[in-house]
Amino acid sequence: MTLDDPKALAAAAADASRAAGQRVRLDRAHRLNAAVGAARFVLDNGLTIVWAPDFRAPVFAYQTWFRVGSKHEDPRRTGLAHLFEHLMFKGTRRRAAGEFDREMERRGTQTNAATWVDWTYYHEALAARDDNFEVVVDFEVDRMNCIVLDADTFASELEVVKNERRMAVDDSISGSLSERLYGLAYTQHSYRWPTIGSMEHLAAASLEDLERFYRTYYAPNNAAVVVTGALELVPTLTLLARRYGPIPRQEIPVAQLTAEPPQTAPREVTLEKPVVMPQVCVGYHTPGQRSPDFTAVQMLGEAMVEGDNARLYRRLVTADKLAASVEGALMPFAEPGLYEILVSARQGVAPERVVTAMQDELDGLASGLSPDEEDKARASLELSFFDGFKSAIGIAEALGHHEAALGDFTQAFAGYELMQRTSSADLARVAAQVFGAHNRTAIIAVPGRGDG
Amino acid sequence: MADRPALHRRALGPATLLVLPEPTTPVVRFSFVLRSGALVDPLGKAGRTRVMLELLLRGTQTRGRVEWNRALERLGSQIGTTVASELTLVHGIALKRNLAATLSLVGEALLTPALVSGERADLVTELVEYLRSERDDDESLAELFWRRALYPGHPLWRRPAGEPADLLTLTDDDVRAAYTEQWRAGDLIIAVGGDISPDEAEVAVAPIVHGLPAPRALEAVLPAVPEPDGLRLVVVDKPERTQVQLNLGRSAASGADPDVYAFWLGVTAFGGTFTSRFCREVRDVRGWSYTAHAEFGRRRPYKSPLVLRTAPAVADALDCLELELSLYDELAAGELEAGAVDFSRAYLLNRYPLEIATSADLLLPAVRNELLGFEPEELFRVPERLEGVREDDVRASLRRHLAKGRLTGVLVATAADIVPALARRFPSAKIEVVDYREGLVDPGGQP
Repeated sequence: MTLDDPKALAAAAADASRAAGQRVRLDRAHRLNAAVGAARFVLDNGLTIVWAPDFRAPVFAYQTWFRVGSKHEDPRRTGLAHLFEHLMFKGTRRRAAGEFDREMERRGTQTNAATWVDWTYYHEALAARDDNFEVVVDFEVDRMNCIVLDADTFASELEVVKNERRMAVDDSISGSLSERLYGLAYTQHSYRWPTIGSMEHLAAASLEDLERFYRTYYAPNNAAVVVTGALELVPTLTLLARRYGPIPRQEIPVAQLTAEPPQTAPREVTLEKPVVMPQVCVGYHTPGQRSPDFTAVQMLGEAMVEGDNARLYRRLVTADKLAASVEGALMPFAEPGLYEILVSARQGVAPERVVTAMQDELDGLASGLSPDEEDKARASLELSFFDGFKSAIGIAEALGHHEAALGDFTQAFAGYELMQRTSSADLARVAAQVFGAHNRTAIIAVPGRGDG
Repeated sequence: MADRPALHRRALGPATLLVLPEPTTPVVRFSFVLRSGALVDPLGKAGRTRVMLELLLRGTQTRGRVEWNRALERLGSQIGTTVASELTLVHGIALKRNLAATLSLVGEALLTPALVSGERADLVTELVEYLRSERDDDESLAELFWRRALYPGHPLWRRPAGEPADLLTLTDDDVRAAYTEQWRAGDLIIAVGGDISPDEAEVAVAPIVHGLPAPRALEAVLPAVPEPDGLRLVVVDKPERTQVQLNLGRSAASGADPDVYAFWLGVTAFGGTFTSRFCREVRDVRGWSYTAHAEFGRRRPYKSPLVLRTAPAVADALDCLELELSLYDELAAGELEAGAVDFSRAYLLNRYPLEIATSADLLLPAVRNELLGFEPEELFRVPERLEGVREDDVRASLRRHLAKGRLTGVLVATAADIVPALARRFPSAKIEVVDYREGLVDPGGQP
């Protein structure tokens, strides 16, 4: 089956429709290169299926992406999306708690999941043999359709999630600073609260809240099933249509998102924490991943923090000797997100000096990148881009994220072309917009007793 | 469709070349691996190998640090270094079209490094600062003190990253000696994977191999790993902890032990998956910890530890520790749940196709296989080895490598919250409390 032949793909969808007794419609197909490409199909109940053939190894990845994350939560009840994700590994009307995990492990995979601001997804990767595909479909259909929540499993899993929060946030300096950063950088938008939720909201969560959450968001028309690997199209589509097709669609509430007003002045908070090194956690508002300027920020990030000659590394670590380490990351959020920079200041260095030197370097970006820096950014991102497609799992994650966050799997392939099109003028313009001091939020931790 | 990328092994002069062709993505990974690591650092010079290695990427005899890195960065290629106790790596990744230029830069760094004095001094300061910053992360802190507790008085006590006080004593002569002693073609394994053929790989790396002196260097002689004689608990005291990072276990089996597959199966059955007994008892039944699993690295040339990792809330920590000790004792006695061995065997066998699916998956295991002295095909005999293990072999192996009541625990916690109760609950344990900043020095050499 070739992804370059829409007629053949449509014919395969028609064959699957007849065999399954459920209508399957080809939506679109897109190819990156000889090895990587995908096609999207839609069932009548709204379920999206993204199929990416990859016969390099006899394995497949199976991922179910739900278009619900922490941004869809009520700000008075944070953490529900993630807490519910934990409960998806418990029992269903057909199966006892733990049966799903046990069967998947017997077949060679530890099933797992992740929740973030825009989505929640569940994943398995298995050998493409025996009835592995049929069984994983059976289990996934089951838990999309008829999960059973009970008080005992809820109580123990709630404790697990509280412990996850203690590890990832309360006792983690980077986690606790990041939580404060988003709380200060955002005043209106739903990205201001943490995906894991506050301890207070977790403690108040009830079984009824979670049942309501499940009924509201876990429906075929709010999900994308992504299958990549050594799976032929017609039998794959047939089975998915036959099993998912009967699940009724639901009314999905439209997310009530308030646009974040532009930041006009720097924001800063200093905290005392039990740290050896002062820590500086900084965020700058960026365009969301839907914007073509997102790629420009990615390129600027390469020039700022990646490699020995990166501007911030050279200034803070090598030249001015203010810092032990500098890390930066652009958050791939659907709505406008943050570019995060985390610096460990050297012993005895006032963190304010770090912020001043950092801003000085970032102000210089508005004059544009040097030709060497542009070459570096393009080549480095090209390498990361292709390396991300080295396995069935990597392909599924890229396709699933773009389908769930942006509603378009082809965006997974678009970054490469966008990068080629991004001009020197674009880079200078975006740098001036994003990395100005007015757009900066800083959380600083200095050694001392904790003050929250 | 092949089951996996093929592994080609060739002698390249006195060096060994491993190639895993996979011509589907225009990317190539490579590793230059020495059969010696931080264990060859002289006493009082822990970190010598690491400093030497990182200095290789800070300028050559023909190009300064900025110029060399700029040339590399223009290609988009990434090069890094890793030092473990038993091996040293310079590893990288490049677009296929930039591979030749990237390896030319690597060759320049490996064959004609500048090893400049000023860069050495700056690097040492940066490393000491970096080691300080590790104390701000509880998982890193647990790992640091776990190594120290596990290997008291043994060369493995020293971290491959170096010890702060030792790093400050390193001289230019130390670094040059490390370079001269360790970079020998006879000690070199080169592993290349991705969009490249064996012949292309040989042509690409041959100039580097032929530019190094051939003879093998001296191997580190590793004394026997110390055995715990009871329960030893080290509390790493850090303020304001809401939970306890708990590592519990002991040194166990080596990758060269004939029963290593039996031991690995036993550990997997006990705590290697979400539904294994250890994870169920700690996490599912009681909700005591988000993380709850047992680990064992089966391809180490020395006695690798069995470690049970959990992170319970302070209020649950002692109950959790007591449960873990009880479960460990059962494991040491060779007691496993009925059917657990066959279940974990099925898990490992069925997972195997995913572990060998890509050249990236296979690169480091192929190197470790070579370091253990096995032939290349041994890497692909995992199913055969697992199927050859009987349940009795597993139980015997657990009894051989573990001993009831003889193990070590490290707890990153606020000592005042748990130590008095810890002493009451475990009266026979040797309990020590250390400050989480213990062993730090400032870059000027002051404690």
